[in-house]
Amino acid sequence: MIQKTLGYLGPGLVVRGQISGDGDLTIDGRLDGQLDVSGDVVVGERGVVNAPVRAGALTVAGDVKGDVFARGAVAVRDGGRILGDVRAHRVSIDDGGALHGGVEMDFDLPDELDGLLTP
Amino acid sequence: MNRPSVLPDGMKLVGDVEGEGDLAVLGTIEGDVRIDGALVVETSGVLRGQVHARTVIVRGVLVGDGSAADTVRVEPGGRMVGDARAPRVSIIDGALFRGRVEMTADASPRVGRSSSRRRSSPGEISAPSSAGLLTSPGSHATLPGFAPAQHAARDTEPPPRITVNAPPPPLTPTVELASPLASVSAAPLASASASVSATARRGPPIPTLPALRRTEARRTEH
Repeated sequence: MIQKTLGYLGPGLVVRGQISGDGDLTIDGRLDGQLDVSGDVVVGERGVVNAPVRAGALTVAGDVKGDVFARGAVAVRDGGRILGDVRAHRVSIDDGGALHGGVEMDFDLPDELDGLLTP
Repeated sequence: MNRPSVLPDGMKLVGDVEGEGDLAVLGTIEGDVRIDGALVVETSGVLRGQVHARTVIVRGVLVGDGSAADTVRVEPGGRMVGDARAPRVSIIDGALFRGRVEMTADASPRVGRSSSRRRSSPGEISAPSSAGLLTSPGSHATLPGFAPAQHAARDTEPPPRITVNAPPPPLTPTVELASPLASVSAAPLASASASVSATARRGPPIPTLPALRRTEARRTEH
């Protein structure tokens, strides 16, 4: 697809249920349920997501309550908050961002240290 | 105002949507939608559920009842299966529709008037109002101008009726005014005159007594 429509949930909009499929999505409203999209997800400053999130990448400037799995990067911006475990290729937390939960990034240690963590 | 919400093509939402603002559906929604703005089911969009919005426009597929505070419009290529309930319901030539049409008298769609059923006749399906009206989700700025114009038409006596009532046999011209043909020719104008004809075509032709205004004649039927 050459031009992809950008998904957007405006402030004041409440979705109770599951959103899935392809494409990017920006959430300034509220989602209670489940989120599973292949594209990039942005939770804006006013956005509230009470849902487990699977996405290509996730940027959080608002509020996310739920476990996160991203194939790409997860970024918590200033004012953003994640309550839940995060598994992603890369995770970053900006100054002013909050993350309560586990973080698991996907990387290798140098060979000589490899045995230390997996006894 | 706020940027409209968009469910893009390829995305699916299973569940309910409610709140403020406009929503464009290019993907699939299975569930109910209740918003205070415009709901547009675009060509690629599929919506299965009950919907209520200020304006409902169907260019894709809507399976479920659609009610609107202002307008329900099924556009060419659009398919709707379900009941349409709004003060103004348009099924434009080329649109596919299966269901009942209920044109409610006032802006509160939940109130079932005894007269609303009588008004659901094929002759009332109106032509496209103004060509540019609501072609995009955010362009509903023309709508507010519509409502006051209609109020004015309802409250004050439109000029045509005065002239029509003047000659002794007044019935024939009044009937012609109320026919759908008259409204089709006048409909493209999003002006006060279009609203006058819109009220004129609202019901089946009601005989106008020379001594009685038409609105009063209609009220006595309730």
